[in-house]
Amino acid sequence: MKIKHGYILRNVASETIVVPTQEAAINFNGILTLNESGKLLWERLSQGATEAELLEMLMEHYDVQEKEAQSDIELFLDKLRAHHILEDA
Amino acid sequence: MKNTYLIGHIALQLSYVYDDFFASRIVPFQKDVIPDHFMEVSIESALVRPTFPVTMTYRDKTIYETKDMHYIVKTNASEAVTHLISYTPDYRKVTIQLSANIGERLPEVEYLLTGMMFFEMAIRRQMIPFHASAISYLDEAILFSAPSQTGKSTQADLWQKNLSEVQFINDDKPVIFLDHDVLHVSGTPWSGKTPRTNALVKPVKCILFLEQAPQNELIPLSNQDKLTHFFRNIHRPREEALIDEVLKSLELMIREVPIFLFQCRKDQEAFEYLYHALYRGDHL
Repeated sequence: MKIKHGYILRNVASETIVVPTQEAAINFNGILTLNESGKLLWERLSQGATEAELLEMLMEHYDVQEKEAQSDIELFLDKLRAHHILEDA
Repeated sequence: MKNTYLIGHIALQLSYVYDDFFASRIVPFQKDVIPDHFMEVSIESALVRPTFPVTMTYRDKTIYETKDMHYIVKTNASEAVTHLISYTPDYRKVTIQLSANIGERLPEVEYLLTGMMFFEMAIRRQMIPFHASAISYLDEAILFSAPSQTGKSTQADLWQKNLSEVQFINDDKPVIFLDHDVLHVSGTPWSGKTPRTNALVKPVKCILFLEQAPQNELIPLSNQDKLTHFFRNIHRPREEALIDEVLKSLELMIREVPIFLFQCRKDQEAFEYLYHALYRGDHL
């Protein structure tokens, strides 16, 4: 899966946000705010990644149990799906 | 009606048809200036779509873009064109053609579409249209911002009733901008349901995002929450370069201007609470 075209990641006032542009801005009239792991997941998903690859990446970066990392990924993906931001890679 | 107006730092030559909405709102902005932006409205018996390839469609609108001109076409359920907006890519020249078939809503549609196009002009001149009721008091501006029906005008009304020096800058869509790194607000002729607007430009004392509540409370916001509230209430561009400009301005505003969530009642107590907080340092 992959982030759809038209979303930009920016750092503003020490916060990481995602802003929709062009056609994406017509369908999603808001912003996403990301924490550190959310930013990592977003950057990886921008290039396309499977859930297994995301899990492996989080486990590499953080001292976290597999179950907890999996749950974080699911929550994050649910958030993106709710805004129709993901597409098949 | 054709005249020149100074709105924020845009010198606009506007030619409009109906006075229903404009008469009570646009006169304060009239000024003998050399225009740098042009907008013209006309009523047409028949409107024809451009013949170029479609660039994009969304909802009932179709966008056509060429190198020199862009077009927005809106159609009704029978696929008849109800309005055709032509504009240069930099929004310096805008022509709005309305179908006579719109009928009695023509004055309202004219008012809304001229506003929509002005806000696009504004954002390209580093002025951010902001959904807020802005008032002036002691030569500074207080901005009440929130989604519709939350009570922006009610709070502004309370200030005007209590303090004779209070003037409305704009009751719905002022523009905010930085001038020498100081946030300013300007009125615009587009003020929503009420004609309460003035050609005033004032430095901003504070921004209050409103939430209705049984008790009054000023709550500090994290930068994350400030950004979320701003994005809910600004007219935002779709182009990446313009978004970056807006973000640069927001970053400075967040750093320099007091911004709070004001959970408030819709009565006199709300005014008293806020007045004491802003001018006597209570509750903060």
